[in-house]
Amino acid sequence: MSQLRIVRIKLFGIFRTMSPNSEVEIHVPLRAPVSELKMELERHWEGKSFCGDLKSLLSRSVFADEVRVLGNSEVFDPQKAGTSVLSLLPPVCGG
Amino acid sequence: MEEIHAHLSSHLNGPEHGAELLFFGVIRNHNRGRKVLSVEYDVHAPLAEVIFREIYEEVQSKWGPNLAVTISHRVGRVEIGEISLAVGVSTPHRHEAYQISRTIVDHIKHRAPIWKKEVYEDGETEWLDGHALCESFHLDRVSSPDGI
Repeated sequence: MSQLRIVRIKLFGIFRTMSPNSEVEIHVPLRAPVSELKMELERHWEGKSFCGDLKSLLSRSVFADEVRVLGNSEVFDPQKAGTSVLSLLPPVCGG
Repeated sequence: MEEIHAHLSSHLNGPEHGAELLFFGVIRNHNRGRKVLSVEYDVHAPLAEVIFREIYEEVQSKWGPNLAVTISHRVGRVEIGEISLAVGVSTPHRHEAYQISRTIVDHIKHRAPIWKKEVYEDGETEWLDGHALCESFHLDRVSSPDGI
């Protein structure tokens, strides 16, 4: 059985509606790529009310640390990133 | 408005610049057939600053170092008629100022980690859909209508 670690995720935009404090914690294997974080989030939120297609929105969203967007196949390394917290960013519409 | 102008201009306008262009994105009272009362902006501030700087460096790479740029974006609630986004550009000549200003605004809309929620007259609210981010995104991936 692989070791699990807790990843704390800050929520932005419409994802803030999924948690009263705009954060969520999930458990993923130590070397899990970013794509697996999305799958775990989907499982975590299964059955929860959401105004729209959550799976579709997650597929169009990305994770980021403080300074860059992470790739889907990338393994998030908290030590290297200097943070144990990721942000979940839905499609953007500033301006 | 004069305060904003003075603030933006203080970051622009080197002595060799003959053009100074200020763009203001302003909240309008309608969108997609609905009457809008106000908007709220959510921003991932640290990443937004990184993206603004990336856009600036790409602009410099494309148009050369002899230009100045300033970008400001509101966070939180913004009322109808208020400024949500301000982009200032100064360059030696006006031609590149227009191009750069438009390019920066287009790239902010496609790349900056900023989200808008509209508040409607009927009491409903909606987070607007937008552009999916990806790992890497550079100036040449967003084409403005005039082909820049």
